[in-house]
Amino acid sequence: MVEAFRRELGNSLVALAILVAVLGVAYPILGFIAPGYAIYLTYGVIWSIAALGFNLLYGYTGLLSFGHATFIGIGAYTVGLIVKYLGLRELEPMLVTAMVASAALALIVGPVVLRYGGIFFAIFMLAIGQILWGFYLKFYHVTGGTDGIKIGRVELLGFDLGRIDYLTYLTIYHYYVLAIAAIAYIAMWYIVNSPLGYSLKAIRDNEVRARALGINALQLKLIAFTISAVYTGLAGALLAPLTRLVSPELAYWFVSGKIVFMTILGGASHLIGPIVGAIIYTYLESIAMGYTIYWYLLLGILIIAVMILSPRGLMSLVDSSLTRARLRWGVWQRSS
Amino acid sequence: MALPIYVLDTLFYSSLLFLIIAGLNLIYGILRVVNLAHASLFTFGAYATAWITTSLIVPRLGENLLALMVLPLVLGVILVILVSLALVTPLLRYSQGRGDAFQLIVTFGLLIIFEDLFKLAWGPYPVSAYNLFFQMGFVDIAGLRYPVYKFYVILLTAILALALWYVTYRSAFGLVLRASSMDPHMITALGLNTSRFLIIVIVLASALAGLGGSLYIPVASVQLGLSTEFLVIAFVGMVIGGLGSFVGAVAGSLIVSGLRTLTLIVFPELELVVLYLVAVIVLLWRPEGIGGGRGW
Amino acid sequence: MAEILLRVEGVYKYFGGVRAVDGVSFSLGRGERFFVVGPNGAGKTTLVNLISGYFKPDRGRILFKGEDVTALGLAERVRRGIARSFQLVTVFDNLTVAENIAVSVASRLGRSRVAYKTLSSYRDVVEEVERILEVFELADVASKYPTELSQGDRKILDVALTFALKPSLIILDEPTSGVATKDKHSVMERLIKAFDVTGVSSIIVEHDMDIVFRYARRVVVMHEGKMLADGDPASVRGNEEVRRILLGGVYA
Repeated sequence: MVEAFRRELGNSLVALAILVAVLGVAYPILGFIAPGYAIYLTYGVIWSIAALGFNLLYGYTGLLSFGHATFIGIGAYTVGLIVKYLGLRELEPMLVTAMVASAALALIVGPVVLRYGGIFFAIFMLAIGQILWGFYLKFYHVTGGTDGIKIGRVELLGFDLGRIDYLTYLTIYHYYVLAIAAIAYIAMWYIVNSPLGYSLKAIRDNEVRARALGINALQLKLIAFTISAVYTGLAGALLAPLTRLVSPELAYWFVSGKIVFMTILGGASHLIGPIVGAIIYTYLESIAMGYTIYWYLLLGILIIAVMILSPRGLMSLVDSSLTRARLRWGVWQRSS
Repeated sequence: MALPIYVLDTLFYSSLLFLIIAGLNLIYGILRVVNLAHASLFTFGAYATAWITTSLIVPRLGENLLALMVLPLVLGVILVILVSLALVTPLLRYSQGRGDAFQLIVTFGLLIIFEDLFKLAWGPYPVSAYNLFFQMGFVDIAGLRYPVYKFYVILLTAILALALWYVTYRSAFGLVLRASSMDPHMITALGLNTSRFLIIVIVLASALAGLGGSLYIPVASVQLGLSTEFLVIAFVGMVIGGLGSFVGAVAGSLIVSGLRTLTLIVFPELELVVLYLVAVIVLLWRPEGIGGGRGW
Repeated sequence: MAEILLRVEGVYKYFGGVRAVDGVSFSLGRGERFFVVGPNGAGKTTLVNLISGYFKPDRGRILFKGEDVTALGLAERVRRGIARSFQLVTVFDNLTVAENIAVSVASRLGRSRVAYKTLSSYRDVVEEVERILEVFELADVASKYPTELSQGDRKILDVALTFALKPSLIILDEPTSGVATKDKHSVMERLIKAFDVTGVSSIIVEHDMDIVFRYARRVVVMHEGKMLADGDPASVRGNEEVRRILLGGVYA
């Protein structure tokens, strides 16, 4: 009976575990053959946390937010402001504060914004993001405006890493991020397969019917929205020590667009889709940026191409080739 | 301070907004597509007009008032229409019926393509062409000098809005516009070729946006990021006025403009906050917006 | 004599000048069932809307489990155990049959908010889902998606979702409409069997006279807002007026 609760490859704990292992092993390998590109793996993992958070809302609840950069900004600026005004160096309290701040914003705007779906919701989220972006820009005495806030090295798990060389610092940071990501991935697996997860999918498929079954749609959407915010805020906070500069760009709505795209690129209907999409996108972006200054042009063309050619993302392509392989194998077996 | 100046500034800004929102509402009302790249045509209109003015008109015809008034505008709008036909129209037509997410993402891609095309053509620095603005001179209003150019824009846009009103409510084409915004089957039911009709609608919307940009450039400079600035505010106007509605475009642009002027006097930092708060309040009170719910 | 579950007393509903429901009274006992028939515009759907709470009557009372629920709205009545199914099948297309029912069961058990345990790890939910699948004969298609099902199975799934809420009274609005003729009987049979086995009371609006006379033990005939007849199929069939209006003299 339990197998009636579908669990395809892209949604299994096994797939997640393999992915985490790959991301762990790939880092030193990259460090060997293409050192400059190793850091993008770390970026990719961080963005994957954001994309997972975004997809809880989009793929599982059916709400498209075009303003998730809001929470990236909150996460990053939490770190920046704590470093600047409290002189703290330990990352953990900053991460927790970032997540709490993101949850707070979600709980404040959620009850209003979640009453609307579709375009309204997407644009409202965009607007909220732009409002905060405007604040980061204008209150430059506090935020440093376009110059931003510089972040030096942070202390991880209480260890002061000021003495070691930069490459080793980056390597340690990668595994730190990966460990957090692993926890985040597993937590999302539970969420997505929990009663909440299934109820969200029901809301996505037919909200009216879900409500007729006694499901409090607004409340569940609010929970999903808050979790989504927390994930993305966490990602924003993890970004700061890597970019070493917290600037308003991180909160600009183009970042929201990127999060949407990387999720769709990977595939919104699978759990690992956004993770795969985030990592691949991060590499595509870095390659494009190194190739030309007109990389928005390339990105724009890529976005349109992917949406037209493969709107269900890479994971759906994997799905169909697996299905074809299974069919072929079945046929081969029967004929032998 | 001087009330007449604020009123005039509000009318000026609302003229520009109206030209953008009218186009957005045409496309949403009749094609049911949200176009994030619409304001990019406004920006393109501004860039193109600036370039035409400074590189083509002034070197050949000097600061001739008539030439400056007519040629950059007309040529600029033509360029916008050409670009719209080449890039925007096919994409919007393809997006029809494919859902909000698809449209938002695809038009987002188009928007960032435009940003880089602007950068390619005109570089990352502001571009300007104040020639017409200065040529028109100033008048005295309540003891302050006010640019004649802004009167010109307000007047021109008012005439255009009236013309659009006339077409919408008194012409056959307008009838198809209004009917098709309520039911797309009406296009063929009323005997028109759907494809051609929709392309005309998109071109019209694009021309209006481009015209807006063309009228904008003499008073300000254009640079990357202008599209976003106007897009975000235009959407508030769309929501308050009512999605897909002509009356909504008028109402939305006036209300947003008025609010904005007020806010800029009192709390400049909170400009966007106030606008979006009002949008939320309007949505809570009347979800179809002030003029909306009835299509174009 | 079973305990009275629902009592409708002198209920009227006007829409402008039209008397959609024109003085209807009846009572329904626990575990009992009746079919409602009548030509289009007879007031069947309005009556259903009045009982489920979508409309409030202009005159008259509705008593459910002894309580006067006339003034209560839709959600309130659902909470008291009145559930209603719609003509259009509305299920969750991207969840399997079992997952569909599980969502409903989880909602009833108040678990919808839980995010830290998998749904399938809840023994009571899984067992109840299995029970419902059995009762509605959907066990074979448990892992399928609604789009892969026959229309009859889809309809039954729709009812099963409502059923999972354990209402005391289920109202079905034309449950066999849209189902292929050859499957109509099996669909009605399965539904009735499920209700009988679990003791749920039901009111079923039906258009197909074949089905009604085959499966009904009590038939209520409506015409122009009034109740023409209320009794067992034989006496209803024998009623002159009913024959004239409803059957056009085909059934003798």
